[in-house]
Amino acid sequence: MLYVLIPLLPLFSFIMVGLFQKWMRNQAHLICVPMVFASFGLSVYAFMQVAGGNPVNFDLYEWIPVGDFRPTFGIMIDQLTASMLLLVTLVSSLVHLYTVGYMHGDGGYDRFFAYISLFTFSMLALVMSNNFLQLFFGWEMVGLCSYLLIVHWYERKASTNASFKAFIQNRVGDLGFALGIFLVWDTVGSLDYGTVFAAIGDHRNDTMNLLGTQVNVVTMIALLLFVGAVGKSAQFLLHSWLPDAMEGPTPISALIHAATMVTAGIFMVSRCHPIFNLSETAMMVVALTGAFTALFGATIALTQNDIKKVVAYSTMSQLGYMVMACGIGAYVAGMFHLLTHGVFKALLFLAAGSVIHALSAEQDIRKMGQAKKYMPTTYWTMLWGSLALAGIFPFAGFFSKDEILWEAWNAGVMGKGLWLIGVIVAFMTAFYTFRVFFMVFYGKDNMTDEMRSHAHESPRVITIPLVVLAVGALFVGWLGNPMFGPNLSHNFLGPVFNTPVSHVPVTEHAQLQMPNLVGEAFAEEGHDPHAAPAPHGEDPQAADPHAMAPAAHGAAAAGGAEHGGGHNKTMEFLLMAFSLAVAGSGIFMAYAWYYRPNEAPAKLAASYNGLYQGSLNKWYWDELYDAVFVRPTVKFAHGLWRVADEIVIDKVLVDGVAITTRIGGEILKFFQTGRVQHYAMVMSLGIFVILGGFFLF
Amino acid sequence: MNMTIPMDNVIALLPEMIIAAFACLVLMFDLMLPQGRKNPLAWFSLAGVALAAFATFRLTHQHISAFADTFQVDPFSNFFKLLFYLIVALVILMSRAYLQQDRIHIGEYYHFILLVLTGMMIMVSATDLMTVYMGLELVSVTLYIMAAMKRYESRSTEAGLKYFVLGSFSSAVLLYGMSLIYGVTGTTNLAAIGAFLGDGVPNSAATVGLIMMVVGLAFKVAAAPFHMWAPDVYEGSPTPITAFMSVAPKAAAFAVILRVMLEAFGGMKSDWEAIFTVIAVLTMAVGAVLALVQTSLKRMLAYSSIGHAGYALIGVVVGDALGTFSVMYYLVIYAVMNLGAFAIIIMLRNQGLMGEELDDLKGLSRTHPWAALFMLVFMFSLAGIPPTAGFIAKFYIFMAAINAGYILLAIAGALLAAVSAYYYIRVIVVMYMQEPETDHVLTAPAGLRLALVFSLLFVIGLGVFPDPLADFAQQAILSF
Repeated sequence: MLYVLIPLLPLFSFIMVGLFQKWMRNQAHLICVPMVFASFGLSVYAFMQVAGGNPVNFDLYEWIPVGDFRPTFGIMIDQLTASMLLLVTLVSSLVHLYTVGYMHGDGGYDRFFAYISLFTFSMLALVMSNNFLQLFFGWEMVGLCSYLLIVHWYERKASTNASFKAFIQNRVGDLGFALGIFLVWDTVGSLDYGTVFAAIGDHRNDTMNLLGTQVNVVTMIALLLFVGAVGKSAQFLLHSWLPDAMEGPTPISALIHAATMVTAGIFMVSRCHPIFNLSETAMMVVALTGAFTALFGATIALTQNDIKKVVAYSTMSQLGYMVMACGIGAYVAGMFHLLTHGVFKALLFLAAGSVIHALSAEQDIRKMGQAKKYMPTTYWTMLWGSLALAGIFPFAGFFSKDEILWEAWNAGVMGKGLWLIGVIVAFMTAFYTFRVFFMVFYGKDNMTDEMRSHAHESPRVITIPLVVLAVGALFVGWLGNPMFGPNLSHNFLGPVFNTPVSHVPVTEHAQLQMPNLVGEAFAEEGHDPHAAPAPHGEDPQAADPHAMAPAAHGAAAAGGAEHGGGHNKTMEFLLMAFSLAVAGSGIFMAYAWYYRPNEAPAKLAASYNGLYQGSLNKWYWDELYDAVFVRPTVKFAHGLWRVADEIVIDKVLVDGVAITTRIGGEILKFFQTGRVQHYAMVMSLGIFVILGGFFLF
Repeated sequence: MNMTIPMDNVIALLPEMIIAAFACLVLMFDLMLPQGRKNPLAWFSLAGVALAAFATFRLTHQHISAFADTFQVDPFSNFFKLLFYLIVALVILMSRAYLQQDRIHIGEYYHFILLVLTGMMIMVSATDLMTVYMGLELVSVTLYIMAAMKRYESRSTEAGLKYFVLGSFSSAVLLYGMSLIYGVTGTTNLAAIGAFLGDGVPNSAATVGLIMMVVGLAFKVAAAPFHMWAPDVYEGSPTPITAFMSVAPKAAAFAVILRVMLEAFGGMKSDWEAIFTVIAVLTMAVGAVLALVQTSLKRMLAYSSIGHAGYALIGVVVGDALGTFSVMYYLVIYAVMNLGAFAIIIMLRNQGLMGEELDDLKGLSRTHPWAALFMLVFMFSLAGIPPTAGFIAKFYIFMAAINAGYILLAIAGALLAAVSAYYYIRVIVVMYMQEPETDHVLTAPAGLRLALVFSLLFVIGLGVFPDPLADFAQQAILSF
């Protein structure tokens, strides 16, 4: 029950700061920071408990039961949740701390703290849920908080536009998500994870009528849920809000739009793997969407000039990576990348924020350069973050990204294609990351005198979180190191994807077994290395990523292709070396072009102007949406406003109803004369009317 | 019939006896206290209520039929008695400042409240038309006096007189109905009437009697078209008494309606169902429409209280276990949220400020943010917006209606609830979006604060955790 406090502590600080904002006088951090750190401490405890083999799953309370529909709030902490808890509370704690310095002197200081606390609560409620309803609740709440925080500087037009965009695009995704949940309810009759995942296998061949064609229900559920993930995790087609969301203050970009909220989609797909695993079609859609987004984001990031935009597109691209991993069934790899990415991407954002903070709020990297001498700590931490993002050994990104690539390599013919895309993206990632890095810290000094005179290293509260995250960016990857010692990430996360978590509801039923779906799929092969729950500890087998990666089997099942070269370590090393070389060459190219002022990029841009303009303008996707959705909608809305609203609704309906009601009220008021004899008369009339009505009809 | 009174009967009547005794003792103590120092009476009355509550608690799950089946202790009646204790306690807590302000802080006030309480307790336990009437008259007559307690103010005496004249009229109608029923069945016992009437053999005398009784009871809950006394009386009475009148006697009358209709006229459900359907819709409509055009906050709440009776009547129309449950649940929630809203009006009463007009709330969020926040929650709850208890209460009513197939009634209720949301939200608009006009500093004594905080926690708490009360109410209907 102690776990309940994990989300409730940030909620408490939100309520306190929210209610007593007047009295806070820019001291909100005195409440929020200790609370979120306490929450982090409890998360560490929860993590230890889960690592010690004590996952929990219980219902807290039931709101109003309506027939079979029992909206419950519950807590489930298994390995998946525990790792998310750790990430969310860690990054949130550091961001809280960072905010103290970054938002110092801002007019909405206390409000900002109230909202990031609320966000932390919502995100924790989302990951700790044991049912779809609470998941949806958290899902909507984080969306709301994201909106509120993007629009923090509400007097800036760009902020409000960005916040609308984020909100609306997320609504589109949420609609699909909600429909998916409705369909789950309709199919299984429960929203409890355990019940749904146990029963969904029985519905694998059910079909439903969709506009006249019969479609598989499970595929439909998976795809609808995935629409939600597309919105929340900024995948292709609902991606354009994420870069715009950078209009919000930088701590938000780090917390919400890099480390936590945007990863909710990947978390959800992993959580719902029993559903996704049942549908090859859905898995394929997931994998292809992810791969395309990874590529799409990377190509745009190549040419952007706003430091935060580059990091934002890189986030989109990395999210694509994770989604792709889920799509080939490599959930462990996807989740592992989510965790490492959360750390180093938060670091990159915070470091970018530190740069912006130090350089008089300038965000355009073309106006920076030679900043190294002003801010050594920021320089070093950003270097580590960039190395991690580029995937250079021994930083975090190297391990997690290579694991995804390796899983892709093993996932059949389609997998090979995905692997190729992954490698290309890795190259571009290394290039654009270091393009920014070199342009900011080396290159030509393009700063104005004023910026130069104000340039300074950021205060301690800003640099300490940077250092903590930088250390994390170096070490967290080793948890998933496939080379020597046990692969901890697989040991820890692997079991989630093939063992049940027993569920203790408030009321009835005993244990619900989550079926070993992946196992079933492979039972006919005769060997089933993961039929038993993965062993914890130092089992030498555990070092073998393949034996320990049931996900890879699922991948092969989903991809429907051969399943070979599994135990081939040499191959894995070769691929690693190859991708390391690719990343290295990306960095080298950035070095060659941007370390010193250089004409090459400009020449290249000029000779491939079409491509360059395309990338610079985000492949005109915003313009396309503007033309296809926004402008027609606005025109339509304008028409509705003029005709339907002003005339039909306002004049006829509203005024009509209001006038009628008012006249009715006045007439009735006329009867309310205040004279007793009139009242008695009305009462008598009432009696006679009722009597008459009764005996006449 | 045995004229000695068995011990059983005494135990069954114990809570009523405690309250009646305290009501008399209050009068005696009143003589010993000097003018203007009547506070001990409040605490004394509260002690009496607490004692009675304890006695009722001990009887919670018992079924005792006493006094030749005219009086019955069962979970149903105990549920209502506990609600009355709660209401009386809240009213006593919140009223002192107002009474002192208006120079009517006299011992009789506590006496009357306890007398009304006694009457209501008899009403909910009555299983005979005679006891029903006795309880009802004890309540009514005392309320006539209470309405006129501000003797020096014509508004108040006028309210008392109007209430008295119209109340007597309705009592006469009720009695007429009862006598017809007695004439047809030869008994006044509810169960015996039910047995005699059986499954609705058409009998026009019985039908007329039923209609008369429905009308009489509809008057007591201020249902349209028998509601016209309510706005005048509610507006004219001193505010704490208005608060009390708008919740407690109404709840008692609903308990009587439920018991009489289901036990005595269960076989004629199709008849009274039709009447109550019409009355319910009319009541909701009158409550919603007339509240819109009010400028007086107190009068607006009077109409709102009429409207709420309409929603509870939906549950009566449904008439099955779920319907009964929903009515009981609704009454509890309505009582607390309405008292909360009235507590704010009481708070507004200040030197030179009547605090009864909507305009008196202007800019309250600037001058008294906490009071505005409380009022906001109560208004949301009255409008039925989650996560407040008002939502849950309406939810159960509509669910019961839909469950039993009264879809149209549920739709009508939902639509009128939407209309009524307008004037609740208007209160919020006035508080939050208009500039303050006065610089009155409001004070809230400890008792009022306690009542406010309790109501707020109750309204929010039951909105989030509706189960405990729902379980309790569910057990209470099992006695039917």
